[in-house]
Formats: sequence, structure tokens, C-alpha cells
Amino acid sequence: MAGAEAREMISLAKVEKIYPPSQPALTGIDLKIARGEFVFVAGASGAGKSTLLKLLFAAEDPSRGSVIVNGRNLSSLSRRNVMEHRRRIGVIFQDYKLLRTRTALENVAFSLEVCGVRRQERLKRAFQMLSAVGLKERANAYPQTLSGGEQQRVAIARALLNTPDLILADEPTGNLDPDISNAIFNLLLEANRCGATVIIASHNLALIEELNRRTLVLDHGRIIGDFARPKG
Amino acid sequence: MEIPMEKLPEVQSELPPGILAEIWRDRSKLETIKASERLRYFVSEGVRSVIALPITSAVAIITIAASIFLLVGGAALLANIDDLITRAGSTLNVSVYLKDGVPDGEIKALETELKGQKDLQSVEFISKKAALASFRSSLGPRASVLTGLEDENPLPASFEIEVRGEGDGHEAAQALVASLRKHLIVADVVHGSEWLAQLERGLAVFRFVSSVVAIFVVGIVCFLVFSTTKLIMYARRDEIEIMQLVGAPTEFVRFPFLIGTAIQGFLGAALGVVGGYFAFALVRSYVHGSGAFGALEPAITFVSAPTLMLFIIGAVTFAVISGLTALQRFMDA
Ligand SMILES: Nc1ncnc2c1ncn2[C@@H]1O[C@H](COP(=O)(O)OP(=O)(O)OP(=O)(O)O)[C@@H](O)[C@H]1O
Ligand SMILES: [Mg+2]
Repeated sequence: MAGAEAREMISLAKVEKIYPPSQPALTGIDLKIARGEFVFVAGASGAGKSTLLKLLFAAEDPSRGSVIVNGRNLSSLSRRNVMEHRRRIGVIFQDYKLLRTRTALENVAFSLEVCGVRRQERLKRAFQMLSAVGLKERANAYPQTLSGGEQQRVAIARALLNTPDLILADEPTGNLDPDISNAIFNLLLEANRCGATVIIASHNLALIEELNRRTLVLDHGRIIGDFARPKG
Repeated sequence: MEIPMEKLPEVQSELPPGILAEIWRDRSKLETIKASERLRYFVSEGVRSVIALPITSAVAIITIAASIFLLVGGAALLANIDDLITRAGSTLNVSVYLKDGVPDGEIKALETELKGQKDLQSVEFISKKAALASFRSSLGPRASVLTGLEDENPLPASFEIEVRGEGDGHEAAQALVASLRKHLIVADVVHGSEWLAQLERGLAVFRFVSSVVAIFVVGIVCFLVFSTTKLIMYARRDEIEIMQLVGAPTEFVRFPFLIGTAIQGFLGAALGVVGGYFAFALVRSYVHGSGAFGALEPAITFVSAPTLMLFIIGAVTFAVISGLTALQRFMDA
């Protein structure tokens, strides 16, 4: 039993999420995701994809059921431990969540900053990562002066920089053209090869089909399909 | 219009092969800052947070400055009025006018007698000549109307006596006035005993009213400072929320915020004190120039240095506490 738990990155049992006062978002979710998996979460708008991801980094609490991530039951974590848990996760937010008082480079470096990494070192690495997403020319620009797609890439660079065990990407390519989307997916695949468990919420059915990885289909807060390899 | 594919940024070719593999491999080599360097980091972050939102910071600093200005100004005003009234009440002036043509010897005898009394603060003899000279100087340029009066000076010689107003000085004064009235060489005695009694009652009322006003002002100041720190909180709340989502340790959020608020509280309080001092200097030069208070001309003292320190420390402490309260409430939500 302990061995099985250690193998699992994520384990959700009978999870239900109702936003106050009475907006149901997830119902009867039972889900296990092993370490090192690369999983898509597909579903129409409002199906509950973002809510599912939010439960995993403790941005929302489940109304019922248990959420276990990386061996920790999230409902029993203190604030300090929630923060520590989040530092081990790279989240790419649907609305980017960049700090507007910091440059692109500083935003990327921020995920190392909260881990207490020295300034020189974190900026050096952040610059490498910013180059990897094709934004080194915009390193000193503030988020407000970046396009949506550029902000998204900054958010991705930030999420990957602290080598998280788990990457949660909410529409990571929503604002990107096909070429850059491909590059970003390649980065996420590379992170996965490095050992990170990757979960991507996406509308992009063409890409989901092309990559042919495990895909969960959500509809009205329920998992209505769990395909190991959609193309068989 | 179709964009030629070659023009799109070639992200993939820009990506050094295996960059993530490299970053993942080096993850344990990351050099972290020592605990001893944390404070410097928090301070620099606190300073940065103040500079990063210049308008909010300016509004906050000015609000706190205005509050402290109000407080310092009020304190200085109350202290000076209180001082003025207290000094006015602490002495009772008695003017003893002498008959004309009294021999110097008898005047000297009375002076010696008066100076021997313990309740008298000061006894000053003003000769007919001196009385005229002081009258003349009080007339200024219009003194010419007095020409020719040197020979038949109508002003009497007098003793100006200050009686201590506290304790039984009051009754002593009454007794003194009564005995002087019967003195042979005394023409008249003028004193302000009733005025003194009224003044003492007035002083009690004034002190009560001023403490009510002081409490009221302190209340307003607290409210303003509290609202200001909430303003700082709201201006930074997206940032704080993001920091929490990325998993910043609580102290990463709290300490820079605390330091930023303290900086703004200190700058605001210092500005308010300096502003208060200049306003005070202006009032003092005006009062001294006007001579409106006559013999009672107030020394006019500013709020004492320890009191000022207390204001500044109080403002900073209160700003920090109310800032942290607002922050905590937000973080718990
Ligand atoms: N904070 C909230 N308060 C109330 N209801 C919410 C909140 N967030 C989401 N919901 C509701 O929960 C449901 C699921 O929302 P969620 O954001 O998880 O959908 P999604 O699958 O991510 O959609 P999209 O593809 O548009 O991002 C929706 O009906 C939504 O209106
Ligand atoms: Mg969503």
C-alpha cells in the first residue's frame, strides 16, 4: 500500500467541488496519476479543468473527498506546508499571474527567488530559460508591455525554472501560434523526460491527438473518459 | 494577409538542445542565500515595493504626514495655550499707586517692607519719570502730544507687585491689598483678583476640552493611518496573491510588506513633524511681531523632542500593526 502511494503523484477519491454558494464544478472525481505521467485534461469551457488543477496546488479546497498529491493529503496542510507544496509545483496559470512590478526576467526568476536562490544565480538561469522560450530580447520588459503570447511564455518559463516534480499547465498555448505552441509542448515533453509529472488542461484537440498521451475528458464536472492512448 | 512561415520566430532552433535536462541536472547545485542575508533581502524588497508603486506610496506618505501635522500642530497649540494660561494664573499683578510729593525715605521704607513679604514674587518701583518714559514709548510716534509734560508730570509713581497665584497666595493677595489701601502714602491699589478666580475656572474647562479634542484628533489620525495601510495593501494585493500562488514563504510576503509600510510611516511622520515645525516657526514669528500678548508674551515652545520621537515611533508602530492586520485578513481569506 505504501509502495503504491509512493508510485502515485496524484490520487483523488470521491472529490466534489461546489463553489460557494452553490455552483457545482466537480462531481465524483476518482483519479490516479502516476509519477512521470504526461496527461491531458480535455473538456468544454466550464467543464471544470481549471478547478481540477486548482485542487492540486491547494488554491481551492475540495468540498468533499480527499486530494493527495506527492504523498500529502492537501486538506491537512498548514499554511507553511501549502506554500512548500506549491514551491514543488510549476503552475502555468490560464491568466499568467505575472508580477507587474517586475520585469520578464525577474518574473521568471521569481520561482527560484521564493526558494531562496541567490540573485546572480537565479537571474542567470532565468535568462537561459527565457531564451529557451524565445524571449531573451524582452528580458527587461514589464508584463504590461508584453503581448498575451509573450506573457504566457514568461509564465511557462517561470513554472519550469525551479525544476518542479509536478507541472500543471492551464491552457499553456491558448495565445500562441502553432510554431511556438509546438516549441512549448516540446519543452513540456522534455520536462517530462527529466522526470516531471505533467498535467495539461487544453482545448487544443488537434495537438492532444497528435501527441497521443493519456487524456481525461471532463464534462460538467465529471470524468466521462480516460483514454490511455486516444489513437490506440 | 498570410505571414510567410520563415518570418515567425524560430523558437525551436533557438532552444539549446537539452536545456531543461541541464537545469534539472543542476537543481541540487543551486546556491541559496544564507539566513543572515535574509534581512538584507527583505529590506531591499521592502524598499523596492515602495518605489514600485510611486503613486500609492506618495498618497500614503502624504496622508500620514497630514495626520502627524495635525497631531503635532494640535499638541503645540494646546501646550502653548495651557502654558500661557498657567503663567497668567500663576502671578497676580497688583499696581500700588503712590500719592504725589511723598518723600523718598517713606517710599524706600515701603519698598523694604514689601520686599520682606514671602508671597510676593517681585516688587518693582516705577518712578514718576519712568512711568512717563514708558507711557511715551508706548505711544511711539505720537509721543509728541506729551511735550511739555516733563515739568508737571501727571503720572503717579507706583509699585508693580507680582503675587504668587498658587496655594494661599490668593488670600495673601487679598490681605495685602486691604492693608496697602490703608497705607498713608498709597493713593490707590488696582488688582485682578476676580479675573484670577475666573481664569482658574477657565483653565479647568480648557484642560478638559483640550483632552477631549486630543482624543478626537488621535482617533482621526489612527483612522487615517489605518485606511492608508489598507490602501497600500489593496495596491499590492495582486502581487501578494501571486506570491502566495507561487508558494512564497509567508515571511517573504510579510516582512517586505512590513518594512515597506514602516518606511512609508516613517517618511510620512518625519514630513509631518518637519511641516509642523515650519508652521510653528511661522506662527511664532507672527505672534512675537504683533506684541498682542503684552507682558504675557508667550515663550512659545514647540513640542519637545521626546514627544516628537514618540509621535514618530507611534505612527510607525501603528502603521505597521494596522498594515499587518489588513495583510493577515487578506491572507486568511
Ligand atoms: N471562483 C469561482 N466561483 C464560482 N464559480 C466558479 C469559480 N470558478 C469557476 N467556477 C465555475 O465552476 C465551473 C468550472 O469552471 P472551470 O474554471 O474549472 O472551467 P474550465 O474547464 O477551466 O473552463 P475554461 O476552459 O473556460 O477555462 C464553471 O461553471 C465556472 O463558472
Ligand atoms: Mg479554465
